Amino acid sequence: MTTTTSEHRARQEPSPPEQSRLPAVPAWRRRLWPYFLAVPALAVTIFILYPFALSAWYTLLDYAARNTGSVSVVGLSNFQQVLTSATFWTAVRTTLVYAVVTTAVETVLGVGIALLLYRASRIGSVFEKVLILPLMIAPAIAGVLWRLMFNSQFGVLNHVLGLGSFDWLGSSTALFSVILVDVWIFTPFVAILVLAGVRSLPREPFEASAVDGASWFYMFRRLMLPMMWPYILVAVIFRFMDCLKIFDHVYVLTAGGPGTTTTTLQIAAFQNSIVFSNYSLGATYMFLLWALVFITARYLVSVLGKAQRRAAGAED
Amino acid sequence: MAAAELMPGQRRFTPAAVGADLLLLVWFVFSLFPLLWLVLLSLKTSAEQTSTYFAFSPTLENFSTVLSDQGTRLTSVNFLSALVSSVLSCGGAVLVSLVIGIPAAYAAGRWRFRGSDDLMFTILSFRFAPELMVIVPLFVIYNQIGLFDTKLGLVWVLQLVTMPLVIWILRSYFEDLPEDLEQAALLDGYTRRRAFVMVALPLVRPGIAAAALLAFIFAWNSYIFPLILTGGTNGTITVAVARYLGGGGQAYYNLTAAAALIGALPPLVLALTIQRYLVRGLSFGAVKS
Amino acid sequence: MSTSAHRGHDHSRRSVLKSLGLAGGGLASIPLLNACGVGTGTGSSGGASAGSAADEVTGAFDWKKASGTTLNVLQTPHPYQQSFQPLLGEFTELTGIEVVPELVPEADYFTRLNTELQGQGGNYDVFMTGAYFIWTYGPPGWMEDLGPWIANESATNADYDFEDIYEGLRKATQWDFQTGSPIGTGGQWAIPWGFETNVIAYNKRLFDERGVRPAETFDELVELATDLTDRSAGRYGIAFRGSKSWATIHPGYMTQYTREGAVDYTSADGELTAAMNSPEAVAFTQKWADLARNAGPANWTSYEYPDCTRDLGNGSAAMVFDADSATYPQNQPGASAEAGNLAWHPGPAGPDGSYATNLWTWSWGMNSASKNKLAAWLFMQWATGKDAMNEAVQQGAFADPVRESVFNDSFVQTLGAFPGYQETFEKVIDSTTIQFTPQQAFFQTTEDWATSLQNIYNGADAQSELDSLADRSTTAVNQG
Repeated sequence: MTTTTSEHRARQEPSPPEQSRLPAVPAWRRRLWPYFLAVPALAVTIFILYPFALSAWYTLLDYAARNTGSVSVVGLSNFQQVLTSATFWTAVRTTLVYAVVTTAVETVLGVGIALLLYRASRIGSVFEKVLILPLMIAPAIAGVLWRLMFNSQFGVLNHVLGLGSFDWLGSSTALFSVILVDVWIFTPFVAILVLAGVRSLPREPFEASAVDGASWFYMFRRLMLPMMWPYILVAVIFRFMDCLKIFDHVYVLTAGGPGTTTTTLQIAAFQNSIVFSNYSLGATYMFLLWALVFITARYLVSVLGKAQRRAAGAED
Repeated sequence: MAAAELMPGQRRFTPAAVGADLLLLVWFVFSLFPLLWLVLLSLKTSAEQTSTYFAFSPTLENFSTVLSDQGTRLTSVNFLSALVSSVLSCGGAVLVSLVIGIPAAYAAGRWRFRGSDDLMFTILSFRFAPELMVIVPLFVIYNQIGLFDTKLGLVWVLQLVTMPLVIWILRSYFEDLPEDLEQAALLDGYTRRRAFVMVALPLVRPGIAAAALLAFIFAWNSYIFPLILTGGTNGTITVAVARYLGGGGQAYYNLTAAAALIGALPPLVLALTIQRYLVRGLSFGAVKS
Repeated sequence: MSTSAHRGHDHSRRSVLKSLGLAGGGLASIPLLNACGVGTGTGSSGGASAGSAADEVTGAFDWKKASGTTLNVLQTPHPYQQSFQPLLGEFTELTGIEVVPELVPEADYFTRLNTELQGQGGNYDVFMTGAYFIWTYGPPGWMEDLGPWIANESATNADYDFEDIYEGLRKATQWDFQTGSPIGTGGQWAIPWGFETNVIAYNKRLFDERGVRPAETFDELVELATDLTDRSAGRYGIAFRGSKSWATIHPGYMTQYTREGAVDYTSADGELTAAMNSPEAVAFTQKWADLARNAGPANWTSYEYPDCTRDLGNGSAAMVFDADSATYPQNQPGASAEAGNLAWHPGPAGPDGSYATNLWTWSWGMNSASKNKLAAWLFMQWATGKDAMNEAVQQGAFADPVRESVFNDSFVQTLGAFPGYQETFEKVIDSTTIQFTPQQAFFQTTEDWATSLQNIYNGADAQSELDSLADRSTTAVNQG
């Protein structure tokens, strides 16, 4: 779609005679140009809007399997019910803890791994090839693999680590364990993004300051980090958003238990809408989760914007 | 090149370098051990599937079961055709995202136009909605317009997964791309479009490679969408792998492991193919000088 | 939705929409709500079945009546399904109906089924279901009432003999959808296919070695399980489910709960009152949680039945209190390390000698949105009929058949190497039925129950935990 659009645009342009000056394109056209490029991507948004709007509409109904004969509009009473329930706030807390801890750990590890791999070393070049492997196992399957390894009766972890019958998925350990699995799967995602970003950085500033005899730490803090921020932040944005709506491997490992210790918002939403067939209540959970992701993404994106402007400054 | 890739101020064989290698080693032991366990599991018989032994007589039977009629009987899905179906729909999804996403990422990275931030945010918002929030309405719509269990339907829904990744990763690259390179091309008589294709695009190749690879992997691993929106004909490989988890007290962990390993091959092949683009991205600095 | 009569409360919905000025389809979602079965269906008029598609079938019965149809069947992998798979060819030969089975793993099965039924896609004509699911999927009109099909001689083979299916099972799949009504009232929403009673399976080799016998009272069971636990040898006394799911409550826990004289709800005037906090319920629940802690698996809170049966099979659990059909395959030659060493026992009797036992039955349900209802019925009739079931039982992995004749003819012959299995079955079958009160919030309240059980296991006070569970449950079941 895009290609046709841009081709169309290109053909409309009077075939440029020897351009001696820049730019020959009329100003209005230059101003419209980015919109033409972006329209197809926007068009795709429409198909998500419809199901999303429908789901949002469910939050105002009392739509549930037990109630399909008489679905009626109940206004904001679902929100009232959810926002005053302890289950919801426990889930919010669990979700936030999960997302913050997981994203922080993965970012630190991912950036560290990227920097370590960036120095050329023999061991590093081997490791780089296998870095991405955990991402190749779907989280839903990785959950099963770890469930087997965590088993206290015959799991290989207790066997290898000599932990006896340690309960990895007990009430005080389960949240830690599901975070551990997330870190295992997704740290490579951060590392790859950051590594690709680091490799595309210009070299001159480093060479110049190396000539000036700057320390490694100084260069890292003053040059590298500011220039890397945009890449790191893109990774953080995606990880944090995905963690807020985490579901796959956590559900496989604990189904949200024991008790409610690993019940994240999307697990709570799943229970309401799929297991309990209370679609309006589930939709309300999901709508609130959506709002949470929306707000944090807004914030992170504005941080990203500032970082990009600063990075542009650092490169100049 | 190798020497140039040393971080400034770093030298080989210093204690710091050895320490760094050790740190890497720790990570990779943690990272690879579960995969090693997965490989071992795939080589065990059903009777051994819950054992903690490292030493046993390995068998390739699980792999041949997964690829044979017997596997089809256990899961009602032909594993090979699921593999092909996955390659087509995930590849298609990434391609669509690249074709549509690269121009948008370029526009947003190159120009600050009115609403450009809102546009980018809207595209990002594809990923805000929890899958479960849209899955039931999508299922209803898919049934009405005949997209249930089709590759087209899958390519479409996977845009939710691939498009934001592609656009957001690439925007950073386009933003970092010095504008004077294209200006120079324009001065040489290139059209905007040719300047984009001949100059800008090759320079962001590492970004495209990284974005395409990650988007492909995320599409490949996506579970809830294909679980609900496909049936027996166009189901994806991830859904097919999970089918070996069985039911009625019979979980074929060893077959699941074998299936998961076979299922990881296409993204692995792609990763290895793409890796040299990831590693050897032209440095802007080098071009500039 | 052309086939199911549109009755009930639709007027109230329409008036609400009208009052909002939306009835004309002003908001895009409204037509969808109307068109796709959201808000349609039979409402809560459960029992009646006027206008059943079964009435359209007339003339003499003939297996070939729907010849040429392709039938989509949604299943989950299970020994039952595997026993029938080789027989599908015979069904096609008999009827000329092509069967396309789709297998969805158990963990995802109800997610898939729920979406399919809620969306009224009609992609699957027949599906495997459990009795509890009828309480959720039946009231919205997503399931076809099979009563009229059974009654119609043009649609049902004269040899079918529905009454041959154990009474407890036939009742378990009937309900009139009225809060407070017991099971066994109203329509027939599914046909039982295979079932299981929840009893004790134990490692006889170990028991003989230690010179112990299965416990006859619950306190004895606690003592025995604790005695048999030897953590340093990697062995524990008894396995039962503990994961956060309704499925943790229904097997061993509900069976013994009932035997100890506790009930889930009391009913008066169409209102239910939760009774999980009655003195006998609290005492029993506390003992059960202690039993899990002292003599159960170390990571009990993630235990599902495959974990339990696996531990029995590899010798790390001395006993399992779960479905007889789930422990049965572990004793088949070569299936597990302890194959040949297992035996069965009804489990502890209640203080009054009660052997009340909770059951699970995999049954066949028909999608009310199916466009091939006659073919669907012929398939269900064949699968739950005597001939096919006898054949399936001879494959050796169909425990337990729902038909008394099949149990006595073919199944008993497979039980030679299964000590106590038949005796256990005969001891409990007459008091085996669904021990829960049917209610539409079953999954919500029962998962909540499992969460409370986990909390008590983790040290919460049983009385206050169950008091608040009972409060929440009473509210949930009487709502709407």
